[in-house]
Amino acid sequence: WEWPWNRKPTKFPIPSPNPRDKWCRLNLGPAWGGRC
Amino acid sequence: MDNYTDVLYQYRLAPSASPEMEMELADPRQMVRGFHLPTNESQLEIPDYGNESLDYPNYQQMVGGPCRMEDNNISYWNLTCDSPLEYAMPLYGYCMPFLLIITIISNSLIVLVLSKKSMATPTNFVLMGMAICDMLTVIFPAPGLWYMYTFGNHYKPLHPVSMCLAYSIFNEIMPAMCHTISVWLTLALAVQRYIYVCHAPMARTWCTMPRVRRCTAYIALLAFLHQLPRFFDRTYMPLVIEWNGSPTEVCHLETSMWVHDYIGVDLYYTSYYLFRVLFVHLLPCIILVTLNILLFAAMRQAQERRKLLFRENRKKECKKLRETNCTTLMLIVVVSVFLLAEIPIAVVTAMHIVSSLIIEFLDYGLANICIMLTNFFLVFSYPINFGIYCGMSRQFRETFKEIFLGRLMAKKDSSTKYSIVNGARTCTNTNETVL
Repeated sequence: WEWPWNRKPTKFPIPSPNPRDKWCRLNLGPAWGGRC
Repeated sequence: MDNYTDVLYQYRLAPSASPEMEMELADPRQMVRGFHLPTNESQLEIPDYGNESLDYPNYQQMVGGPCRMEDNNISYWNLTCDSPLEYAMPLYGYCMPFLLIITIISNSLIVLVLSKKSMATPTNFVLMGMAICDMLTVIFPAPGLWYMYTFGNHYKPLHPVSMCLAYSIFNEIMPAMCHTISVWLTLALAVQRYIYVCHAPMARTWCTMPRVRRCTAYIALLAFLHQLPRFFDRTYMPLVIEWNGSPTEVCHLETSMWVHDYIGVDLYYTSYYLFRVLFVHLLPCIILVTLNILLFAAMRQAQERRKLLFRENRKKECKKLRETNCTTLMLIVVVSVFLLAEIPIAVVTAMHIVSSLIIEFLDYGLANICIMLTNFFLVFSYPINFGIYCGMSRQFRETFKEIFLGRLMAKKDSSTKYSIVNGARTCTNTNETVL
């Protein structure tokens, strides 16, 4: 286990198109959690 | 190519790469002239996400902005693309510092006054918790907002990776956690008032200080647990670009592998947003409105009784009832401000879930502006609470005077710090709210 800031991704899934993109369009601002 | 590919090796050698490959980019704000991986410094390129890729720089570009913080088709974190600048600069950059100072002063005063021994009631304990959480909601993101918007550094890529993580924690996760605690404390306060007003005998068992302290601790723990996955749900991939003439390690954001492996991106974000819509926005709003209606009805009833008692010249009972009414009215004002901020967020987040999962219909440019204005309204409402307490609670004003102007200025009859509705204190001479 590593701290998140030390983590270097070795294997990583990036499907195309990246499903993350559609979820991270909304920026909720500081009070509600920002962008995903 | 397998979906689960080694990312570091997805940066493949560009067919046209020359040893001095430097890409001239159209956007002058970008000032990026090629990128290198931290591992082997090869001339590599990134996998094509396809034209449908809608990360936020792409989105910004799509809606007409010139924002394009990416290099060789990979985006990196840059605040210029994070929020609509024409609103972010005046609201976050110029107005927020003033609101921060006012909030810190007013909420510190609230905490100072409410933490006095004479003010120690279950209601005040919850109000104090709310004041602390509200203050932390603006304090945590303040340094980031100052640096990015007030001092105009938003165009610089956020770097290095540790700074991206810190920015995410202090500008997104911690404020959201504090605000969630504040939301649930508002709910706890309303429930408490409901018990005091409508089921007074139960208050002696349910609204004791140890119980309220325990409840506050559980609320804080629950809010922490609900934000806990967010500390780990994204991976900050280091990406070395040449920025302003020197190699800079910027952050490319990706959803963490465990989300892909064990839950799935769609299910993870749907659960997260749905939990927030239901338990942080919708249910608290519904419960608060219901309790407020019940409280309002009880208040009306009490007013009628008060008129009757007044006619019968039973002054002592009449005063007790008036205290209850003012406290309840104060709660109604606090809750109404809360609803004004939470309902738009609940609606937009619900629309976001539908738009991302079922059918694309939400105008994200507009939604982000609406949310930014609501964020601003929320912070704007924090110092108003101080005005509400001061304006509506004589006990608050008296304690405030005692602390800052000395006991001479305080009224001689300020022995009366206990409300009949809040615990075993002697009756007050005041006609106003005793929290």
